[in-house]
Amino acid sequence: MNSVDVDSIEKRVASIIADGGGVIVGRTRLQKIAYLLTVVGFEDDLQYGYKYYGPYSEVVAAASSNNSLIREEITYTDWGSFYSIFSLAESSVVQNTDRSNFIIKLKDSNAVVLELMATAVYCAKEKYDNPWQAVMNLKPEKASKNMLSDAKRLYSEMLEFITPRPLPKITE
Amino acid sequence: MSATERYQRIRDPIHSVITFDMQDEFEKTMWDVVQTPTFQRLRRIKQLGFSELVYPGATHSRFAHSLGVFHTARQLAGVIAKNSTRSESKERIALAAALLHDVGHGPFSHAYEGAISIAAKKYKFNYNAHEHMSLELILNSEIGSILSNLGSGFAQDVAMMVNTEGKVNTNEITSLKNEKKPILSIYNSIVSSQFDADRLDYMRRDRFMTGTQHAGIDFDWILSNLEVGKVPIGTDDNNSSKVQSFVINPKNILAIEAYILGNLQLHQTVYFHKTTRGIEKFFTELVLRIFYLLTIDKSENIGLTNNNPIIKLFSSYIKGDFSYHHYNLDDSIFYGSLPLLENSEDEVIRFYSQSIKNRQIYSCIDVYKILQSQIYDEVRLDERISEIKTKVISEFIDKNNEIKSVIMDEGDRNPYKLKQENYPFGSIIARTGKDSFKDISMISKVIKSLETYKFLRFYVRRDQDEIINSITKIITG
Repeated sequence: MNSVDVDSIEKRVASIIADGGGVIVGRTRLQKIAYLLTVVGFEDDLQYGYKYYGPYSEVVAAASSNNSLIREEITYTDWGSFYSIFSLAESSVVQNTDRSNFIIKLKDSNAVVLELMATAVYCAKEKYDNPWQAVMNLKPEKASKNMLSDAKRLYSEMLEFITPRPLPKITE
Repeated sequence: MSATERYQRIRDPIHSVITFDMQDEFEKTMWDVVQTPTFQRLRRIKQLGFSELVYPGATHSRFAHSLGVFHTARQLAGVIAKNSTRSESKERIALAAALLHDVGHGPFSHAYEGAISIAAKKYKFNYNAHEHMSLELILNSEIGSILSNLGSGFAQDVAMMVNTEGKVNTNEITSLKNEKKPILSIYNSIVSSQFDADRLDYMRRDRFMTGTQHAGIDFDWILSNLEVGKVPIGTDDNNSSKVQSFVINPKNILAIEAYILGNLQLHQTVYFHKTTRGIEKFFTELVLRIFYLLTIDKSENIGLTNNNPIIKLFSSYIKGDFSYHHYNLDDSIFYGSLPLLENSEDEVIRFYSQSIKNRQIYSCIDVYKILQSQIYDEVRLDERISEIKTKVISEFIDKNNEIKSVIMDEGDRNPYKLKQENYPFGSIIARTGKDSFKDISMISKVIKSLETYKFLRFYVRRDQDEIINSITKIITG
């Protein structure tokens, strides 16, 4: 067993998976977790822009395909689509740190809720007047009343975690 | 008004007749766009770059292709109108985006892009990829003014639609900075998807013009069995709602398998042809040498005057004062400059320009081709290829700017990518029941079993027999 060093993007993505308990389900989950880690200062320089599913980093995407550190298994959903399961090529010790607590909470969240929440954070950082309204405009097909309410709850819960920097304030 | 007066008609080898209705405000505007110098430049850019050096018939232009994409986009919009509620405003944006999606291409299409991106890294300047240039030209050239006849924000909407895949960071473009992020709809699929009008045109056109007889697609059948469905979407493993998407019905499966296989075959035989790629490599070396001489203030050795558009554009990159006004290169300027480059004072410029002009190619050693019949295990094959690549690079690949003895080329093509990030727009969805849908790879064993096509080639100067033998020995072990 070994813990993962952090000196390349691949190693950094592998360390996110390691701190999340060794498995993260879904490319979007992995992307949004890496984004939120960047926002709160647990990661830096992961170069995020906006793509279909909200904040998106090409370098994280490139680093999380099958490589010497990370395994990606593609699985089908029962509704006709597919998703990835990321694990580590070698098992790793989960460190019970503030960072791993933060990651584990996010990786256990519903992926749609996490996507909406991360997009609201992105909109807040981009100085949209009303980030939650922006999320409703950007993702009308996903931002149902229930999902949006869950996303707001997740955001409030994440504010309680100990992080180097706070999440941006989102007012309605 | 007679039909002759009312319609502008263009004969096309693929679509027969492409019409523009001059009494229709939108089509009249598109016709005006086609007449602009910026769009007419596409007549002088070959769709397949240097492929005509292998397939003599492949001299068709980006201009013809762009018109074909517009025509095909109209047919796809017709599928939406027939199967769902038509949105005229979104349809107009999608059709204009289809017409203009390639307007930013440089000479020899993708060959130029490859050469400039390497030069930009080597000589540390910023350049804009063709996708970025397309957006600049749509917004800021005379095309933008004409598009504004259809509404003040129309050009922006078209630019955002062209950028469906988000390849360009719109914050870098002044007039798109405050633009809202796009909400994807089925109309985006016309411009960017596995079934986009671009691919549906280029596959048919490139096949026809090269004269190759494989890679044929059953276009009319595909379109007649294309439907619009409400497809479940979600994020990762969590389902959320449904969106409209193109879906194929069960009668379309075989035609779609042929479509995906055909695209792979075109890559193997046309786009990645060893001779075409070899000439592209010469083009890259030539471009790199011109940049080198410009950066060491030896422009007089290049053989072109400072007024030559190549020198003006490349200098603007180096000086960092590039604007879309400099972006007027085309194939004819390059070919017109070749006789001058052939007489350059610089030996490297002379060598590569003569090689391109006279089609004097290097010997090609195709590593996968040699080893595929010897190593059947994919993982072992890739490992062996990686070892060979490392060894040949360390022993034979020069990093200097002189005439190269060995040039390496590699690439790959995944015939059907599982695109999770923009599902269902980046996927081919099959209807499996009244309200049930599946990704095509879940129901077609043919598509599921397709593997990524890869190549690694070494091009060696024909007078370097010793090197050819040494590399062959490294490969055969």
